[in-house]
Amino acid sequence: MPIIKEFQLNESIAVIAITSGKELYYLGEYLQIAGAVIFIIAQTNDILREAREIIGKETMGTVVDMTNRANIVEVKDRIVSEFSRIDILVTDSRWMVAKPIGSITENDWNEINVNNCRTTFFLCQVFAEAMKQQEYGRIVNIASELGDRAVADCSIFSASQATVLSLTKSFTIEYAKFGLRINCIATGWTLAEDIPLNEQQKELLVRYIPLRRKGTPADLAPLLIFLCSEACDYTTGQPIFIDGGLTARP
Amino acid sequence: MILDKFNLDRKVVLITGGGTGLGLEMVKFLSRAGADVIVAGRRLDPLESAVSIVESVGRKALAVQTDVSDSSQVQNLVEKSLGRFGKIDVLINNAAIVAENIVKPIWDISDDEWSAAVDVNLTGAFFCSREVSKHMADRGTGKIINTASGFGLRGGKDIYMYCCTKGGIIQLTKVLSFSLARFGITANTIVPGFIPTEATESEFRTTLPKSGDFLPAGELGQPKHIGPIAVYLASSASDYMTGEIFTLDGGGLSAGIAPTGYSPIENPKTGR
Repeated sequence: MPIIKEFQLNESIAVIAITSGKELYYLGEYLQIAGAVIFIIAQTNDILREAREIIGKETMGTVVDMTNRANIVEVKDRIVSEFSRIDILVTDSRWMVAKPIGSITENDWNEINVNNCRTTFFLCQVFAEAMKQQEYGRIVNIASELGDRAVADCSIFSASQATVLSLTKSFTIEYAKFGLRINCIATGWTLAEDIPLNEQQKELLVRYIPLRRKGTPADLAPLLIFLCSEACDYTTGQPIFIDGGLTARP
Repeated sequence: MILDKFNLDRKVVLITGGGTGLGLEMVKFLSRAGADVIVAGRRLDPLESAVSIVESVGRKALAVQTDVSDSSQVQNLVEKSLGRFGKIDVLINNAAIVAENIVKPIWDISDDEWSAAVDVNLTGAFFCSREVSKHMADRGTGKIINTASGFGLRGGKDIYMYCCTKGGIIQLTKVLSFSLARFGITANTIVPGFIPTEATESEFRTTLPKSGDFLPAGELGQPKHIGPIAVYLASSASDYMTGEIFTLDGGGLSAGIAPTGYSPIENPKTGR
């Protein structure tokens, strides 16, 4: 079966930073199948255990409180000393708070900011600096297209996603010349569980997706593999939307 | 296996403007990934060399000399393609006009110059999409890929026809994606940045940056960069993507090519 070799990840060292959600478990598994060596950074013990159940019991990884920059530096140093390089960083910044604007508390704002904006920024900062030394790197931030379009009850979540879209551009400006490619996958409505189509389509919002179904990790995986590969040599700094056609429709 | 999704075995791709430049690079990668390819274009010689490239990797190919701005020629192209291969899985609208006089103050642009660009760059993509999408809808599956440009999103000084038609291509993609989703057809746009080719040599020589110093990636693009993206968008790897823009611009659109957009960073490769 002809598959062009450029998509293969050839034992690239891929760091998967998981703060919440299950989709990165499966995406990590797909990167591994495509040839990457996976290192999991998990926010909690439960996340690390669940991720290993999907990606593999022996998968390297550690629990790190990523809300603290010093912890991120420490784990980066550990990975560099173990592998002497870091090729890929994948983050998922879609920690959710869904509330009407009138009910948002200062605590909600701080949690969204810490989990989606601050953590993503310092993960990218610390790993981009390491990748700059080796003049090669691929960073992919997974965010929601709500950074581009508003939905009721998602105000602060949408604002945090717009931050991630924007950071992708800023990191490109400052790091692309050092061989880094920094991109953002902007997802629509996705799910990690396998829910039958007829069940999904009972939901009103699914009927608004032009392709009439939610996205799965298997839908996102090939794009993620491309953006993590050497083949992604000139695409950088833009969100790539993959959402069943949502952003193209009115 | 997830990488199998990038495989194009037994797929038939029809590409316009496939004999040269970015089109030819897409033809090379698509055939390496397993596709049979129909190459259409105005000049027969480049089409025939594209055919031999495809055949050299063991795939089938057909050259059909076509001016896409003429709907009867587009009909002929699709008839010949279906006659030879029986189906078209992927349409790539890549043909675009190349003219020395495309950079011109607005007052100096003649009716004919304007129409010629619109006819090839936008109407041609419309004619091909109209002709092929009916066949795709009958089969309940198909992928349309349009080649636009960063100039379809940003204004270029005195580049009226190119910017307007490429902006039109991006809109055509969105309308196609929303309208044809129910028939199993997806449509996406590739947006290349500054990638010197035979075409831009004659077209934008004075307007294109001479180097990539003011691009975030620090270098101009190379035609080969488009190949893997064409394979991704043509294959089942991209089944959940439709109506979208896939940029290939070295970061150009994230700021701007002018030094006013950001402070240029010294390029470790060139030392500039």
